[in-house]
Amino acid sequence: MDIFYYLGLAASGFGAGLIGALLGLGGGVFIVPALVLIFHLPTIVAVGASNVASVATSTTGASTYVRQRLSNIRLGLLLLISTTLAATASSLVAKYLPNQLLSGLFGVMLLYTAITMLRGRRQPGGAKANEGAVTLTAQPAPEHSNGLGLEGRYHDPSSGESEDYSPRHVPAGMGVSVLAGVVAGLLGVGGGIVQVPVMNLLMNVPLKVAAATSSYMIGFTSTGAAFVRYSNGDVDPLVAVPIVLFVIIGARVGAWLAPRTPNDRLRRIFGWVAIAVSALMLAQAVGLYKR
Amino acid sequence: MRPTSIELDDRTYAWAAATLRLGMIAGFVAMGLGFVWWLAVGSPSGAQAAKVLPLERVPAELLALNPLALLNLGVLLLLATPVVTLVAQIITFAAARNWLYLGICLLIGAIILFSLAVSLHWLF
Repeated sequence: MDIFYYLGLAASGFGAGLIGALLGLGGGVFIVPALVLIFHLPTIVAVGASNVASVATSTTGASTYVRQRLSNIRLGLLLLISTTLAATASSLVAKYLPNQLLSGLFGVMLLYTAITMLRGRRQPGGAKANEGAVTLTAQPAPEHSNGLGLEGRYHDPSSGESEDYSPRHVPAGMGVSVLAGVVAGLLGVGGGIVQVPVMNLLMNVPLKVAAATSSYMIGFTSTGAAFVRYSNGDVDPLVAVPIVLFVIIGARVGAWLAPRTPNDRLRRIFGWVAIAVSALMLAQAVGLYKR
Repeated sequence: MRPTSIELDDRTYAWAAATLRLGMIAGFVAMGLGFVWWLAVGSPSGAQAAKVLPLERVPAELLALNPLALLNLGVLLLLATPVVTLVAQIITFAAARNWLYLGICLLIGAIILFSLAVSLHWLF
């Protein structure tokens, strides 16, 4: 047993959780490259560990957001039809794909994340629903005005203002959500990077509600895929457990540090780091970078 | 007095929050204890050598005092948490006679059950 190996895994989990929380991203985006590029683990094992970490971070966040009534459970359940179906199907396919292809797909997804970060917008895929001093509570709005009872209202106690919202384009939102499921099933990341923009930009759901609802959904989306990976032997508990335990601690520290750090500068720095890492993943995929 | 649908959704939210929190705590406790146990003693000789235990072998390996079984149990408890939360939602939507969302929950449950069936090699 190499204690330094496990300390390294724990440090990677902590770092991924910390950076993820500081940047408003899920830790999975950083876990897979760390395990592949530093620990030289097969991509499928790295994706398995990331899958379990996604369920862990989602469960931790959602337990708070659901208690605060910030997640919209009805909206989440509707979109989960698409994401769970896509995630389960793509996780079944993943075991037949070569490591290089998975690395390449991950590199492309990371590049998309990096470009989103560098564009200067708050990354919607991981926006923290209750970040900063604002604590929001949501209450369902009057029922069934769109036939699905999806309308909601959330209240900002610091400003005393409430915002009513009514999700639009539900069928289109369900269609595009398939992508979030594929990302979760193939690459082991939560899928919030797709899901939150879908809810916020396409369905007109307030960003904080979208982020909280996405957090609620990720556990369900990832758990089917994670069970399939577990049965395939791709979830190595001696890799996944130190990562999971410390990604949560890192995320807690990151959430505490986030309001105290210069967010834009940090976002630019890590945007370029993410571009470099995605280039390494892509180079590995095409055989230019050897372990 | 019959509760309103908002009050019944409140029950759904409360049960979901409780099951998520309980599952999270159970999973983390099992994983934390299992990892410390494994660091302290390693795997017992004669026990299942593979790190990834098939689902059906976890109870037997746990009884054989294999710390890897506790690690696997922690991972499985964590992965089962959304399933338990879904069951809680099925109960609350059924109690509220909200057939639409009960049906949606059952459909999602069927999809997750399918992946569980694959995991347990019931299907493939």
